[in-house]
Amino acid sequence: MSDATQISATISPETRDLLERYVSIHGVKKSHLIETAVLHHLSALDAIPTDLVIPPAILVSQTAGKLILDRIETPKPPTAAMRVLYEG
Amino acid sequence: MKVDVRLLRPDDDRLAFSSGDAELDRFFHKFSAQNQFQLHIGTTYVAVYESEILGFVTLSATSITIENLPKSARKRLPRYPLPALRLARLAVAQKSQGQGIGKQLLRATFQIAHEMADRTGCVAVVVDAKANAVSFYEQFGFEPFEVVSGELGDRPSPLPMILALGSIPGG
Repeated sequence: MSDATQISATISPETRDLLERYVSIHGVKKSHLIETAVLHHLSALDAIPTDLVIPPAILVSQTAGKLILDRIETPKPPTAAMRVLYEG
Repeated sequence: MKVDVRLLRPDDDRLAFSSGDAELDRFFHKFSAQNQFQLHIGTTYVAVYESEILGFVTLSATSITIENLPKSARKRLPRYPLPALRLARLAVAQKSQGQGIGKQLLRATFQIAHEMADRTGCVAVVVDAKANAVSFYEQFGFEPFEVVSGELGDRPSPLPMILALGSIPGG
C-alpha cells in the first residue's frame, strides 16, 4: 500500500458502535479494520452481480422494530410444524 | 430421505445441481463458491445423499437496526444492532423436492443460529422468502416484516420474514 491518506466520513452511531466493539475485542487498529472492510466490499461488488450480493445489515421501520423486539422479549412457542421438525 | 448437511467444498460438483429456479441455480453454479472461499460474505451448506448435492442453503451473519430507535429503548438491549442469521437462499434439486430436504436444511440453519448465539450473539433468523416459499416458512412461525434498506436484490423481490431464536427449540 502506498503512503497513507486521511478520509472523513459520517456513519451511523450503530455502525460506530459495531466498529468500536470489534476493535476493543480483537485489538486491531480502526484504520486497518476500515480499510480491510472497504476492500472486501469493493472486491465483492466487482466479483458478484449486484443482485446476488447479500447486504451486511438490515434497517427496519419502527413498526417492524417493535414487532421484532416483542418477539425477542416474548418468543412465541414453537409451532406444530417446528415441533415435528425436531421430533423427526 | 435423510441427507448429510455439510459445508460446501471447493471440489463439489455444483453444475450438476438443478432446482428449476434459474436465479437460484445461477447463484449456486457461479457464485456460491466465490462467496465462500474468496470473498467470505456468505456460507453455503449443501444437503448430500450418496455424494450428490440435493439442496443448498446460503447463510450470512447480519445485523438489524431499527429506524430512530429511542436511546432509552437501546439501553434495554444487551446487543445492538441486533445480531441475526440471514438465510439468503435455499433450494432443493427438482427431482428431490417434496422429500423433506428443505426442512433438513432449515433445521441445520436453526442449529447454526443457536451456535452463533452462543459464540457471538444471535437473536433471530431472517429469511428472504420467495413468493412460492412464504407458506413453507410461515408454518415454522416466520413472520413478514418491513425492511427500509438491506433487502436482497433478487427479482421479483423476496419477502423478508423473521423468527425469534426463542421460538426455535435447542437453545
